[in-house]
Amino acid sequence: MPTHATGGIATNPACAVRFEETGAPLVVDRRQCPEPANLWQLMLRETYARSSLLRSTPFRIGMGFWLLFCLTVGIAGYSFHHALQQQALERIDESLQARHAVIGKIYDNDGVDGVVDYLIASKEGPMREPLGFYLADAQGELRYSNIGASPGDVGLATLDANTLGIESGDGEYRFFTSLLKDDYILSVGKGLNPLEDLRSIALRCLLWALAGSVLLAVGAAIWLARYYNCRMYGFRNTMSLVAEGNLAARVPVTPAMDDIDDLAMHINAAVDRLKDNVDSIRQVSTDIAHDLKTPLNRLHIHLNEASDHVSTLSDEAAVSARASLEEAMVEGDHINSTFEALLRVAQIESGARRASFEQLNLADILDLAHEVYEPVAEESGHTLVNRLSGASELSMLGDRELLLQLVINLVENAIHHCPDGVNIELDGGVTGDTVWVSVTDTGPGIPAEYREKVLQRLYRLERSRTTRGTGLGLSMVKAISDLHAGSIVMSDNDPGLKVTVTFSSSG
Amino acid sequence: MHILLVEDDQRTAEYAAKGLTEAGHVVDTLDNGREAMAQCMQTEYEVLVVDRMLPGMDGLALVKGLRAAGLKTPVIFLTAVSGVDDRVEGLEAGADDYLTKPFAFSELLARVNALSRRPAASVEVTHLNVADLELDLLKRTARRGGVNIELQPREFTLLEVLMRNSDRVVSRTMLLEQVWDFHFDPKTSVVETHISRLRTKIDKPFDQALLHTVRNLGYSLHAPR
Repeated sequence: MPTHATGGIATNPACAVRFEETGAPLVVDRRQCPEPANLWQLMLRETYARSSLLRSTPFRIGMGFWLLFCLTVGIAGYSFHHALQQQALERIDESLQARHAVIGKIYDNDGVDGVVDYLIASKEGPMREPLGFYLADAQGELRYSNIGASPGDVGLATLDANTLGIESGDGEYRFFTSLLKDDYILSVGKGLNPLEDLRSIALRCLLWALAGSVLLAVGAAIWLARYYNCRMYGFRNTMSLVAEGNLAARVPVTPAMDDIDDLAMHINAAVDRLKDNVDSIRQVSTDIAHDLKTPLNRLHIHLNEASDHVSTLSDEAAVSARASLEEAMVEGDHINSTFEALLRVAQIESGARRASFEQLNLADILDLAHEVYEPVAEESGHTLVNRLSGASELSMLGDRELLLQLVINLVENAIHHCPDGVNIELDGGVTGDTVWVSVTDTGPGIPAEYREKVLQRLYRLERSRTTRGTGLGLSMVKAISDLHAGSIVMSDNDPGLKVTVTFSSSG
Repeated sequence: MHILLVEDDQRTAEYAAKGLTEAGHVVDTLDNGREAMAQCMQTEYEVLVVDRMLPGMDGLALVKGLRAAGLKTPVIFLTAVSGVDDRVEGLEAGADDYLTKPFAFSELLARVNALSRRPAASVEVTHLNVADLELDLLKRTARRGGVNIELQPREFTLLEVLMRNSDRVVSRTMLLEQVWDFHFDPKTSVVETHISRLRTKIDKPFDQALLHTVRNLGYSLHAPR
């Protein structure tokens, strides 16, 4: 059985159906599973956490049905056996009573001596089955016996060899005791060995049947678990692909059209709807982009031409007109870059980029960012240091261009929002199975209550409102981090801000 | 140079055509993809400037069609959105360059010029010379007036791009793309800073400046005139 220990997607080579493999394993938030509320739930969770076989519902159902089957067969077998026993015992009792009656007749005809003769004769006579006799007179004087002790009072009784004082025998005996004429008391008995044989045969049959069924049942349950695991794998794999933005992924449907296929078709229908919605949203944003870009483009052209015309004039009014036109162009560019950034964030959030993730080293990205921005920081009176120098290996699966943009947005943010003379540090590392990068500055920092908010689109701190910027730099950082299933932590550098972004590593 | 401009927005088409004509090029303008496809089969153009979104046949299909037909004419895409996917899609379809709207005319002109000067693939250039500045692309060394100049790897690439386009204007965005592979607009003066560092190495110690800033357009490396 494939093990699915703690999330991630295991490849199941036993599956007959081949699935499109997913890129980065989808990290499922297991906190959505509620904590066990009582001992029973805790026990279930602990048990399932230890055994992948027990975690499989088909396996548990299979084993459950097997237990139910055993119980049914057990009850049926027991009642059958009991009825059979009862029947056999009645037969024995009848034969003992009949024998007693025959002896009664002999006593009537030949007296006690005739009876003794008969008893001796029948012990060595033609009736082969071992019979026990105990004949005593009214005073309790023993007249004849082939057993050690009296079987007791009048009536039917089941006694063991010890009580009867039979040295050579074991097991149980059935005795019928009754009075003859003149108060002679006669017990006639018979061994119950055939009955015990019957019991052991029945028990052996039952055990063999159960032993056979346990092999069959466990085998069938494992096969069921594997078969359904394959189908579940199809569901899980497809959902991972969908979550990664591949809306063309569909759950495989078998020709059987069973309940699971029905579920699969319902899920596929839901993904179809989702795809339609996403497509139409994409279409709308493309249309908006086009409809807004064309006038922006024309505005740019008009301003350019106006500026060209004005530059041929030379009076004072023309100079100020030209200045105004240049300001208008800068504003137009600002509208454009905000718009571009919004579209870019939306595009990143759509997840389509996951399809082109590749193996990369975050350390290379930090190196490049440092190389490009070190002089820029210096120019603006800061220092930029890369603490992670040398050949470090921070390998992960991702989009190089976007991760570079993430680091650069953080660096530019630090350069922009810090007063002169601030130290900016780049760092990175591997912790367990995660890789992280951090950008730290010694600037004014962000108050704790605003740290979540600055990641929202177009949110700007009061003190930054006057500086030029789109208010989208950090929301793009968040979008890129989300795309890579990363997490952002903003902490106090005391003074300054430390932004750490953590991803799951692939190396 | 004979240029075909395929753009459905009339105002943009007029503006670009006027500018390109003034710069000494011969420009044909069309407003849809189908006609452009037919036109390209009849006339041999040196550069195509194609809008991504066109009525009839869109720019992407047009370029794919042309490449499938074996035409190797350089193509510049004009795109409304500079999204990563849009750019990659365009380049994969066979375009050589792309430009995001709204664009500055100078940017378009710089890119058209750069494309038309791209050497045929078979010709390997190993040395670049501008005045007394000399770049050895194999040994990756730079010399000016017989003096060796120490350059960082990426400074070398920056100089190489400028020298390959000597006498032409290279825009900020072109440098960002070609030198640092940045396909987004940095909010800081990245290019200016690196140009200024390069300048202190290749110009400062010498009498005459080769690297010139062209206001609002970009940079140009050329021999003293």
